[in-house]
Amino acid sequence: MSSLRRFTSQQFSDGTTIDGNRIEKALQDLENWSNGIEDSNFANRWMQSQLVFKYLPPTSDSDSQLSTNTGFANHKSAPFLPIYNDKTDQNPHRLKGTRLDWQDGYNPPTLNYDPTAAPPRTPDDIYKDQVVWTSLLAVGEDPIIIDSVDAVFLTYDAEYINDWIYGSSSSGGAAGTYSNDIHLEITADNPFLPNLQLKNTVLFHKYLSTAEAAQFCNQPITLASISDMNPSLTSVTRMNPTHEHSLSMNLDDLNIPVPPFTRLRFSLVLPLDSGCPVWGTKPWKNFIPTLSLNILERTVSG
Amino acid sequence: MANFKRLTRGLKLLTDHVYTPVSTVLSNLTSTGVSESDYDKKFGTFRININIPYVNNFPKQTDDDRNTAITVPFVLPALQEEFDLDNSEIEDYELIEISVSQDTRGEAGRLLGIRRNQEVNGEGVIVPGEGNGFTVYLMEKETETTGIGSRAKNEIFKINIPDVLLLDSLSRANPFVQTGISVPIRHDRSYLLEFVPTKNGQAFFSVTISLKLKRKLTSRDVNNAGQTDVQNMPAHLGAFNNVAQTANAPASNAQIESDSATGVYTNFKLIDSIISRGLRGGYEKSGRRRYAENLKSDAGYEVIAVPMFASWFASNQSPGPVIADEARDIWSDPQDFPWALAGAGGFNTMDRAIIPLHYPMTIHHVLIGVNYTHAKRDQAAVRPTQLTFTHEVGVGLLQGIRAEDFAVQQIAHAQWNPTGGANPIDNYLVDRMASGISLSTNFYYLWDILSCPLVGTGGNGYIAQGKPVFAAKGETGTNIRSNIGTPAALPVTRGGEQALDIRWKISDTADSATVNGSIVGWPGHWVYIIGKKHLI
Repeated sequence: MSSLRRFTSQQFSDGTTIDGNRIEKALQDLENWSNGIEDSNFANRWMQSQLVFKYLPPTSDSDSQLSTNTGFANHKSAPFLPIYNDKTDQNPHRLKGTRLDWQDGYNPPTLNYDPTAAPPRTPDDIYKDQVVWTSLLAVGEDPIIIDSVDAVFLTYDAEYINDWIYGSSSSGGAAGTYSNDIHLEITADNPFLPNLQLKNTVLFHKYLSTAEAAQFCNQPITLASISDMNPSLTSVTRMNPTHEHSLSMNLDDLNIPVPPFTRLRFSLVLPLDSGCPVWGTKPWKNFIPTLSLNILERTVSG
Repeated sequence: MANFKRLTRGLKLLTDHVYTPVSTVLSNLTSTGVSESDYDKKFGTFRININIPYVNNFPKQTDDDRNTAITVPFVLPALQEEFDLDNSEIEDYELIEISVSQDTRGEAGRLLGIRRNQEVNGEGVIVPGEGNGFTVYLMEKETETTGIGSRAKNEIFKINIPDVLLLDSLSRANPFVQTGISVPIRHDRSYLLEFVPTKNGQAFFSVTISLKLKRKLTSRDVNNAGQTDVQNMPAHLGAFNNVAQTANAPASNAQIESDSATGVYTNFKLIDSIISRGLRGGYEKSGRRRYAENLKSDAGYEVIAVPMFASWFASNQSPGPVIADEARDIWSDPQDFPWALAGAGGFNTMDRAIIPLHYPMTIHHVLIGVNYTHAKRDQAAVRPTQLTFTHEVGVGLLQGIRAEDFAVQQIAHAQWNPTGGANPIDNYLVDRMASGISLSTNFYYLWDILSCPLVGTGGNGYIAQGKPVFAAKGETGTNIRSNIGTPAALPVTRGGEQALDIRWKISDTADSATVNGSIVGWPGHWVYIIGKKHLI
């Protein structure tokens, strides 16, 4: 027969002694336990928090407008930044395992800021191979669990156009095949050398997964016939969502524990491929992203 | 709180001395359920996560300008069951932790912003050895729904990241977390986050501010027998799913035994076994209740903050001809918006966010932050006055991700025009925020916070709205749901919702050039989905 373990260390068994002191101790333990039940006794003691990262990418018109405004062809790539730093920087590479096999690899931007260099520099000097949107989060004194990562990429037939299928000039694969170039990565800085990304730990990395597997749905939706809400998807003239081309990458039940005071970096990596209809030189313009990071956090005391 | 009689020396041991406490605890655990007053950790946490993809070069006017164009407001209303109670009876919140960060490509330096004039186009280039410090302020004000609004003047918290903390080779404060904070946050106040760069002329990429707050745990929403108290609720009503257990007390004057059916050990073991397998509460992913629940207080407060039109700024004005103009790197024309055209009736656009549901939640409120802040610092921000100018925000439950059916069930909706229009914004106001005087020069920010009412009727909130709405990825057993909306009808998603669908449409049947105000203030609008989440 198993012993009492949880609320008291007092044991009672036929053939052994029993006295008021021991019963009193057991009852006192029970009272103390029931008046301050620790969360370690809960089978369910976590709660989710959803971090949403989203922006509306530029349109062709806004790109042109900003070029006019600034007098220079404007990348407007923010928040996407070049994936590599210069080899003289502390972190020439800040992500791991993201090189695409059809790219040369470390192709750093041409120099960091040099006030003596003759302007103008072009974005092509800076943005090479891949671009990355990174959001950072510092975990506090309680551990968390990374539960799920979602990336929903919405596409349309005018602006934000993409069917994720390589063309004849695409570098990533044969024409007519689905792209598999997207990387989603979560890294944790090394606790002893937090600024050295060479020493970081990759907690989560999704890559080499075909866009076909993440399709929102496999056929066009006749918007006029669905039960929709307001504002409806047919209420904006010239807007036609293409759910059959949109992507929804949903990775759940990840159950990745993260210790207290960990510094996390959540990154979306896209390639640059000038001849490719999926990416081009401005891949961020080809869909509207919504990224969600779901974490579980403990209950806390008052 | 349990309080058992003490056994003193010389006392005759009665069955009550032992079995009454055991019965009390068993009743708490298996009949009534344990509430948060008996928990060691009584508080659940939630986060307000703010991500700003890009902060342009000139959100301030001068280096020593305390003010900024980069602001984000929020309000944390009481849950519907508490909304009409006296202030003293409403649970408030406490800010306990804040994380701040920006993307500097992992280097000790700052990044150049989007090119703004004829200087070097070094967008994203690292300027080594130069940090871009900043301060995040959390300001508080009372809510007001009349007039132009007022400034949030009460500074309740700030965190400063100086340049030097961003430049060390071994340890840089990016990201940085401040713990051990204890700042009370009230349900009847509105708050404003202000991101103030230390120096002017410096850009920031992917600024993330994550506020972690705590609030006392509460019980989950339970539907009534008529299924009208919670919309879209499964047939189990959310009722406490307990399996009652009782102590098996011996007769008076019986021999004291340990291991028999009425023995001391046997009855203590009933409690010990429950603790061993873990106290249960909350919901499974599908919205199912757990078997033999014990936890009555198994729900916490939740906020999902969703940026809309982030990284855009447009008013009816076009940027002027001066190429060195401070806002030219982010200033768009109305017709630059997706699917918009110039001219009368040409302006319509929409932003849309899809947020997959992983765990059940009950939505109590949807709030909207409408931003009019002008990105050009010496320009006045103006609320549009053209009466045909229309905003429309909807929140729904979407079924259709790799699914057999495609449907969206409306759960909240608001459509408004400027004051004086057919559906004036005044009908939805929760708060107005305005810095500066008479919206003139030296202007910093201009916001309206609106309530986006839940569908249906009979709920509590800032304006008339429906009862709370349950949302979960249902399966067989949780797919049959209670009615929703007006007239009350079965949800079109039929319990199979997979994601939240948030849409913001802006349109004008007249010419967008005469809107006379900010269409999207810098750096964008916000939608807040507020409700209950549950123990997992």
